[in-house]
Amino acid sequence: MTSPTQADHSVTISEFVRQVEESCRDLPEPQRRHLIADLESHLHERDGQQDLLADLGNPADYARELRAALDLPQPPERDSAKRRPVWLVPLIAAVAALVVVGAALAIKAATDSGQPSSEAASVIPTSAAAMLAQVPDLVGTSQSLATGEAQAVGLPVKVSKVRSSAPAGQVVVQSPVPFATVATGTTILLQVSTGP
Amino acid sequence: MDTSQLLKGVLPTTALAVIAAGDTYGYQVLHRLRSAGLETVGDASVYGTLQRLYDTGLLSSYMAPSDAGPSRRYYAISAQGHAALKQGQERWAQFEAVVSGLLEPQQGVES
Repeated sequence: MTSPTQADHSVTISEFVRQVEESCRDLPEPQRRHLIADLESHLHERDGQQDLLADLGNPADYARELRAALDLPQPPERDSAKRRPVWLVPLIAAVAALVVVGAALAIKAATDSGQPSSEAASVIPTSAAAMLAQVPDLVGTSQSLATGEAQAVGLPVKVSKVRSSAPAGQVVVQSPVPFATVATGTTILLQVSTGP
Repeated sequence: MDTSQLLKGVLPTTALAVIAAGDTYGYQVLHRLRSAGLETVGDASVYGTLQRLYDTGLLSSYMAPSDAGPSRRYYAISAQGHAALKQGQERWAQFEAVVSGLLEPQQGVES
């Protein structure tokens, strides 16, 4: 691996804005759009002298502070203390799969016994539950831990290095955002701090 | 004491005061607040506060070119904003006097 070039040292302003917007995706779209409407031009006013992440912190925290300033509710499930344990995710998927199989069998039994079933059309194929994964919350953890957690739920990672006030090796930005539901095999982009 | 909670209450009034002194843009408001001593004020707080003051009609805004890069959004205080600033100044003076009196009882109490 080569040493990072100047451009790798920080996230770009548009990437930062995009991540802030993602952290606000629980808000109605017009409100969210309004919230970030001028953010990009506002951040350009900084004259680009200082590292974006070192100066402003990570985008999720920025979004949190912005919402507080506007008296908007904070997003659900953001506290790491409330994080759903990673091992629970495959368990939930397994239970969901069992429920679907059970429902399919029950409907099959009902259909076989000659009773019409209006539910038959809504049955999800068993494979669908196994093809989805919930993105773990990886910001703040180490690169190796984050990689392990993501791979445990079937999500490969791609790492890029950024300079940040966070300790070296710590994940500062992730995409997609935590708790998003994605197809298994979706690559999670991690930005890992090279240290202050 | 958590300064951020104190700051939240006075941020709109202090931002209005900065802009009342002359039209300016967001990052400059942040810079003035910090250099005046509110060092912990965050960029997002100022950006959000300006947006809110604009939404409620206390500020107007216009775009102006900059030497350094893209055009900047300048803010100017409106008549409504001047009224809100005056009210904010009065409230702060009152509040400050009450809290100071409570925090320094020896000097304030006569037997």
